[in-house]
Amino acid sequence: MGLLALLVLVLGLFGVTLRGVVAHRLAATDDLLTRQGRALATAQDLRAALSQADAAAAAEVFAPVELLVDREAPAAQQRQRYDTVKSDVSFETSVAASARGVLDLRRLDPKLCPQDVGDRLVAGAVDPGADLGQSTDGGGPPGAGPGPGGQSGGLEPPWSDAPPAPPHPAGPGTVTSDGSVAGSAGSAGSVGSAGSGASGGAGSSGRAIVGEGTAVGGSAAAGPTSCPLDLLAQEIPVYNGMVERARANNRAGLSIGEANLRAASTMMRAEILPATEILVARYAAAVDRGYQDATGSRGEWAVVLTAAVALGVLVGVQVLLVRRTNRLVNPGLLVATGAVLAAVTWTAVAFGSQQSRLDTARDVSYRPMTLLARSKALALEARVDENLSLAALGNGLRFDEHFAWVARGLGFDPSGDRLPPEPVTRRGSLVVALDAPAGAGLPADLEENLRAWLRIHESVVRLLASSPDSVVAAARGPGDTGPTAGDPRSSDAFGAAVTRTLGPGTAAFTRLLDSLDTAVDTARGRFDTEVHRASAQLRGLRLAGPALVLAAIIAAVAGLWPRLREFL
Amino acid sequence: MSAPSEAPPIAPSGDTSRRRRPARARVPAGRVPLTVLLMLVLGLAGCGTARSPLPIEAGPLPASPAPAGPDEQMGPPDPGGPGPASGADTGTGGGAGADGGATRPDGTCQADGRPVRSSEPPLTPLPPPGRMPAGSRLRTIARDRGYLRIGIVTDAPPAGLMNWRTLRLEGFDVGIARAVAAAVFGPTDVDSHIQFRAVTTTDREDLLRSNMVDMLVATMTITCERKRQVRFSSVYYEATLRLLVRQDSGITGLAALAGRPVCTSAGSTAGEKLTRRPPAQAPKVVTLPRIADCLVALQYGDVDAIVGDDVLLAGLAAQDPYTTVLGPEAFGPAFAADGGLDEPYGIAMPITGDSADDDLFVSFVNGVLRSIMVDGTWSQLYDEWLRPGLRVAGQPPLAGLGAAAR
Repeated sequence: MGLLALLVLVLGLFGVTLRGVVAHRLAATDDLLTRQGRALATAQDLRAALSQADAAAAAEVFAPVELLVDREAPAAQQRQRYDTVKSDVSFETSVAASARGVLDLRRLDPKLCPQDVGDRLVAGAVDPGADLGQSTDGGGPPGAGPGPGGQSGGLEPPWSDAPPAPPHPAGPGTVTSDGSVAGSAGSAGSVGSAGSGASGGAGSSGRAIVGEGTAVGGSAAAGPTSCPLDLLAQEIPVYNGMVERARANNRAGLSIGEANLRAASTMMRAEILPATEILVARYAAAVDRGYQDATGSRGEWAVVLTAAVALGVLVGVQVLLVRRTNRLVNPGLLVATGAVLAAVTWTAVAFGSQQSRLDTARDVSYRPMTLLARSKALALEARVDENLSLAALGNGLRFDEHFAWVARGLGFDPSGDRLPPEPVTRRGSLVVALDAPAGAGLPADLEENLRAWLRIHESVVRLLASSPDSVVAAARGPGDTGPTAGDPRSSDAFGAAVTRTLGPGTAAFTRLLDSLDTAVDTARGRFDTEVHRASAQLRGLRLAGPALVLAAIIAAVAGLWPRLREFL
Repeated sequence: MSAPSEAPPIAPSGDTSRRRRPARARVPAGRVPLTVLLMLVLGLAGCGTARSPLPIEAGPLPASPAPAGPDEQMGPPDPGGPGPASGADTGTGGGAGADGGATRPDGTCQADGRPVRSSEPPLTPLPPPGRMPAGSRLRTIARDRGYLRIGIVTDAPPAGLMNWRTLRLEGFDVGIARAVAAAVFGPTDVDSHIQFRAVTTTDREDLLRSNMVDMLVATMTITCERKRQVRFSSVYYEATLRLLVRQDSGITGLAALAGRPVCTSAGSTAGEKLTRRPPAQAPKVVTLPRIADCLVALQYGDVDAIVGDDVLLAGLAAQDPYTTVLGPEAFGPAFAADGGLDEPYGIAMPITGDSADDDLFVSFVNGVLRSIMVDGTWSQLYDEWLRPGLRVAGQPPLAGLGAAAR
């Protein structure tokens, strides 16, 4: 009797464990598709939309001349250009898309920003020009420099510990899984200068977070605005307003419009985009955790152990029966053993194929997707640099340097050639995506589009740059640059640079962006498909596994029952 | 249920020995696939949890050596300045007066004992366009190169401005630059003989020292410090320091700005003057890359005033009707004493090492300045660009040129 109970118990344990583990893995795999993956995609889209808004805003400087590109063209072509310009609302579209992205993320990840309306009402108004105020010279308020936990500190994967903990006030320095993501970034600065308040308050939170009002003291400031979504929800309208201000000034022909655009772009890059990076990092970490959940070895071990115990007991009971009785075979127990073995085999096969599907999803689609999304963000950032540099009429050395840096991040030098691979440092995101085995599936013209755009940019930069005086250079010694390559430049170089950037440059960049979009969408679609297939592997097992174990239990009971009766 | 019912009929049969063997074999045989399976499963468990971290390359770029924010320069490290030349000019460069570049109380430079405004005598008579003195840099430029490289500001009306609607540069400084080019190449099609280069206040000296431009007509104040690094023409415009504030803000002068943020462009003389001769309570000097950025900061309420040259502030005030430029009395008598508000603009040229050639170049430019002041071109430019903002009639600063000529 005890034997039967033991057998049933062990088999039942195996069945329950199998069911639990399979259900858990299935749920985790489905979540990977519908939650983490979607949240990451949304965050990446949000980042791209904001970058695109920034790029479109930076191009606003050229609004007065966007029709001049085809100045000498026939009227029909001019009308055509006018029609494209007229219908180009990329800035509005991008801002709207980013607002939608914020809403979507709130829905997908409600735990990120607890809906603490009361707290939020206390928070001060956003100071749009707060970044401008940081420029006080030496005697400025303490903590004017971004603290140690400045821009980069906020980008650490926020979900370092377990999933959702109940929302509780985040103490400075502790990273809870909800909400206080950016709080860790801000805390370093805000603790140091908690009381500084006044106009320097914005400075204390570093570049990653602004938002605290200038008048509000430190206590109320750090809370709600430290959530990236809240920050975005507050800053995107402010940014929009700054750009509109710039547009109004531009239309009135006032040169301050440029300065307005620079200020808006600074805010975008210093505050808004880092917040989206926090989000992307958060959901990338979530996908990583989803993978671990969906393929967790702890569950496998539990299945293996319970299966081993179940099989051991089954075999043991059979051996015992053979020894105690003269019957060699107990068909019920044999059937039970077979069922358990079938369940184990099925599990092994299902787990194995699920895991290999997930591995495929990662290597063939997830990695390319993230790499391409990063490439898109970088390309847009470079586009902003290009436009701002041109708006400064070639005096944007800083922008040009940053452009080169971003192009390097893509894996290309500014003239459009691939950088030689350096094994130590990080490689270019686009080059890695292209070189990956899965890169074959990317649009064929992706790299060529990037090259075309970079080459146009390079020619514009060369058009605007002046070279060292050959006369003086000759006097200084050989090895200096020769005469300026037969490039007698007139002041209309500015005009040529602008029309070249607006005409072929914009066309090339649009093509690049389109092919990047296609590539990102393809990779995302493939990721969805693969993860879906992976979960399909488990779906059958979820029912069949427990059913097999149940059959095993019934067979075992049926097989053992007569023997027990004999003994009793 | 069928298995147990069938089992008894098998059991009583006598041939147990026949069945025992296979049965015995069965148990170990059952164990072999069992262990294999277990190992398989264990193996799966061993290869274990799959991870999917974000590829490094998909992560954010590390901090750029070139700042991401276009105005990163606004940050605290700015006062040191990226350009070594700007160090003496920016807000905290108060110690600059200690070395040889200082101005003496009588207005002469410690380095050479000459007045700040002194320059080479104007070249008279001017060589006709196209016939520059043999062997000089002017000849090389006119004959061999065919164009003059001139640095100008492009976002500071009315001195220099890109008109985006016509894609042409315009402004007072641009007019002066065109006049110089016309003297070298002749009056026809001047723009095709100029390579304009946009500059900001911080990179002006660097551009000259690296010979990227032949001259700068870029609202550059002649100072003794700068004279050690570049050559200056004589004064082409006598600017003065002014304050721009929001109208009716109650701020009537520097005294009211004590402790308040006051903006100026990086690399300008104004910030230095504020810190060098502080009123009882000095304002907080905020330096931004361009003067237009200061107006944005003022509009957003981040600064309370902009200090700068009258020309530039008039240009800003024209763009924001809510602002007003305060008169010279706003600085108080102590500040204004000894020409403390003077900002004499000069055309800057590089020091190439060939001092005779440099002298010739400077005196040629002075000759051009003198001729445009005499023939009315200067007044025409003034009336077109500066007078609408300044609202006073302007006299060409011929005094320096005349004195030097004598």
